[in-house]
Amino acid sequence: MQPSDPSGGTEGADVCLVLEGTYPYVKGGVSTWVHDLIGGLPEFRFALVHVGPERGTYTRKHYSPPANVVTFSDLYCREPLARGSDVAALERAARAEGRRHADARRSSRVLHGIRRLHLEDQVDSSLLDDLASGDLSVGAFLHGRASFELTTELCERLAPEASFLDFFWHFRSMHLPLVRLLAAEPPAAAVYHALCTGYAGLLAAVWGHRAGRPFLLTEHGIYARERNVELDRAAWLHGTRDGRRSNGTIDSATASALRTMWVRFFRALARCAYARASSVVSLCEVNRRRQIADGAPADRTHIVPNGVDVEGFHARVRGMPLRAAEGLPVRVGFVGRLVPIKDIVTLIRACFLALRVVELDVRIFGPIDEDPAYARRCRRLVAKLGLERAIRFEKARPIERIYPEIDILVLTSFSEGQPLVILEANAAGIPVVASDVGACRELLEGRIDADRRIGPSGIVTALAAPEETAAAIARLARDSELRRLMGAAGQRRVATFYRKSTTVSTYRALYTAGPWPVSAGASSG
Amino acid sequence: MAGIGWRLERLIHQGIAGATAAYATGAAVMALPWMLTTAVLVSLPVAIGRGMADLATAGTIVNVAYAVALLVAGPVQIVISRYAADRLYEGRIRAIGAPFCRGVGATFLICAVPAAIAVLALGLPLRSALWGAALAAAVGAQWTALSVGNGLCSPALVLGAVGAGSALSFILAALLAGVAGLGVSGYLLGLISGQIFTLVILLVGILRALPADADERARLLPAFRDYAALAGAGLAFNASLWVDKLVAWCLVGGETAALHAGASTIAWFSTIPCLAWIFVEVETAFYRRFREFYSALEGGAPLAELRRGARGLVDETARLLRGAVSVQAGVTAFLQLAADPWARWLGLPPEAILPYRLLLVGAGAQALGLLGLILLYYFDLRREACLAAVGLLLGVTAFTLAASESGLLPSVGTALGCSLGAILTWHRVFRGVDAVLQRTLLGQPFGAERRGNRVAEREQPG
Repeated sequence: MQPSDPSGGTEGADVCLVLEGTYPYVKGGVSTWVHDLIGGLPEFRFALVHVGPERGTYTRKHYSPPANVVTFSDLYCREPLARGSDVAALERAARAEGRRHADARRSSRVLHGIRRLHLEDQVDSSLLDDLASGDLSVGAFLHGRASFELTTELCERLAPEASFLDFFWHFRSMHLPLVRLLAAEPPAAAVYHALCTGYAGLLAAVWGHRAGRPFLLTEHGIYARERNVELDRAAWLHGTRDGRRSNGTIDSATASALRTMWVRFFRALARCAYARASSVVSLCEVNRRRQIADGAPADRTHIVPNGVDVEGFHARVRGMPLRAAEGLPVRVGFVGRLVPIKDIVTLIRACFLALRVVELDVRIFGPIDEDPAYARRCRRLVAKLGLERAIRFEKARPIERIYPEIDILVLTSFSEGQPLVILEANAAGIPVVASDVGACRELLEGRIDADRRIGPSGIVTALAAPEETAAAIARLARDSELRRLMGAAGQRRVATFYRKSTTVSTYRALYTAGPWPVSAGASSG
Repeated sequence: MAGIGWRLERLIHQGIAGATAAYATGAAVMALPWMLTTAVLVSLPVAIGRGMADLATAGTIVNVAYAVALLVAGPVQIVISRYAADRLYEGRIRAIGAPFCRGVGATFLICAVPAAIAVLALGLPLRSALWGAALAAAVGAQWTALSVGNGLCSPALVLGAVGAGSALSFILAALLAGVAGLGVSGYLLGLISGQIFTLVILLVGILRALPADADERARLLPAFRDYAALAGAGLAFNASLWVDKLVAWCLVGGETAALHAGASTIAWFSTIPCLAWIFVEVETAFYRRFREFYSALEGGAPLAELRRGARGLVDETARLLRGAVSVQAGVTAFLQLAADPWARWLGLPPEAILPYRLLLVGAGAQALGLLGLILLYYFDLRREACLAAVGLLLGVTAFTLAASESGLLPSVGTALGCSLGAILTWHRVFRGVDAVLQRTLLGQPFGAERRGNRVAEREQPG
């Protein structure tokens, strides 16, 4: 595919980016990546499709899409309740829909596809054909007899001991987004590109399949596994221990069965996207291996790491006064959102332990609005440990006002893809202590031989290990030469292997590569 | 209505006297309106005197008042009783009082006005219209109170209110008309006084059963929209009880129509045992099975258990049908055998016996059709209930009309129409109960505040 002439007509875009819960509504690494990618490829026309939970969830765009975004559309998994509609009105509407569909025996290809998603591991062209047929209306799905028969069949086979009522509602919640999204008209595009698996990934795969166009999949994290983590933590899926039910709770057998069903479902969505994708891109080797384990064909997987605009970064950071370190305690910084997945609690405990052996000044930079309860919990912990003077919470700042002020970056996340903060810290010559998740080890110790020869640019610690993290922080704090060496290695590594220009040019090549290999899910139709 | 079942069961377990009271309550709740109509019409000549000139006027006023009350208040009663039953089920008992009082008030108006207009339209003077309006309002409001009271009050109170009011009606009517010499006016005044006495007892009983801090904001009007199909079903079924007489009067007229009306009225008494049995069985054994099924569904039962529960409901429905058929068949067979002496005893002419025999079959079928409608209400198959009742109405109308037009007795058509209507109603009942799980769940809106879907909808991952 060749990029279109920017002055040409508007018949379709070059790339249709299908996004879920991210750009331009949510700030963060993926959104910044998307914005930079689009901005870095001005010769391509982009159509953006954002998949959100329901209208009204996202109201504010945090990014202004660049000029080469030719269309932007929102799709929603659910329709919100109409203003003023009460239960009685909904019930009337449901009864009317029920009358229309309750006796319709005819099944649909979409329902057949849903059945296969749950009962079969194989993804082939006919499955995508079924899902792409779009022959199931929301009304027929919610109120149709064929849909109910599928619900009962799946309940018998997947969760025979579970509460049928809960299974029924979860079945609806799980598949209604699918039915709604599959009924949407895709923007015309030469390439469909999804940034995750899940609903958006399947949608882009089906659109690509329907249009006979290539489908590119990039995963920053591993969507299906991230959902696993969410399901593990979800209070609404925790069964009561004694098997009894009360308002809003479910018994443990039902909780277990439903959790398994959700996990299988997200894996099935991922398998569909992997099977249809011409290229499956991840940010690091760890994630690539996970993709392969989850069903991605190894020969179609690629690693395209994120990059930093090294020159621009240096221009911004060098312009600011660096800390005069002599005589001051070593400053440890955390940069990121204060959310549970970042495990700030472990960071605080590690600093508490490290403070016993070395003087530190800890700054936690980041927005607290995403999970204020967690931020309060972190503040309470700091107070409880008597660390108010040593650990301070700071608002999010521009990077040029962060990196010149810290000596060591610490990242104790439970889960990461390829964290941009490590690249930025290394680009600024700051050593990093990071938990062994995602691409952190590759970023700090090197991915390929040439990279490893540069030497470590930080210390990797075990997950949720405050003692080990404290030891690493203390080691770096005590040894200024080690900090200097690791910082220099980091700068070399970023400059050599993690340039944004390389990332952008790789995607330019991916978008323009042709002919695209025929994937398992490709069809002539 | 939900609530009376355990009281009935307790009565039944108290022995023969208790069981009698339970079935008498059933008879009162199910058959009171037309039993009273008949009793009043029969008692008129006795109370007023056969030779009095205004006997016909009194008969017209009573007929019109009861017909209007039955037709117009019927849908209101269904809506109010269903509203009250749903609030009881939801545990929102405070939301019953205010709408109930408004509903009774509305019944006064909507019965009085059409009754007055109807009496005037028949060429009677304004004074008669006012009596007709007062009687229709009293009777309509009383039946409305009865439809709610049978679920909220004890059977003893319901029976006591109905019994005391009826007795008072007849005693006062006889005293005022016969002894005091007030004629029709005295008769109607006595009759209305007794009916109002029943109404007052029922209202006191209902309001005592409800909490004092009623939710004044609760509204009844939306219930008429929600239960419009049920109201339609009530209207159609009540109309089906009258339409054959109207058709016969319009098409054949004269003595044949009068014979048909008389035979029909007497034949309907044959359904009282069956209706009493239906009331008790539906409110006890069937309701227990019904609650078990829905409790299991809401309590998190697995699919296999729910399927067993659904099969149990089908079995219970079939048992109800078999039982009702047995009771009705027994009564009908006895009355068929005793038709000749019974007709002679009632003073019916010999040519009324064949219509009477035919209408015994028709009345039995209509009672079975009523049972089917009640079950359709229970399973919230509102549209099905409405269609079934309209089918019954159309069947009775069409077959009575066809029989009358073709020179046959109207009762031939009425019996056929009632039977066909009952068969079609039961077809709908079994179709609905067979798919009870599917229909219950597929009728649920996505987005309503229900336990289970609330968490699933709002907190789904992704």
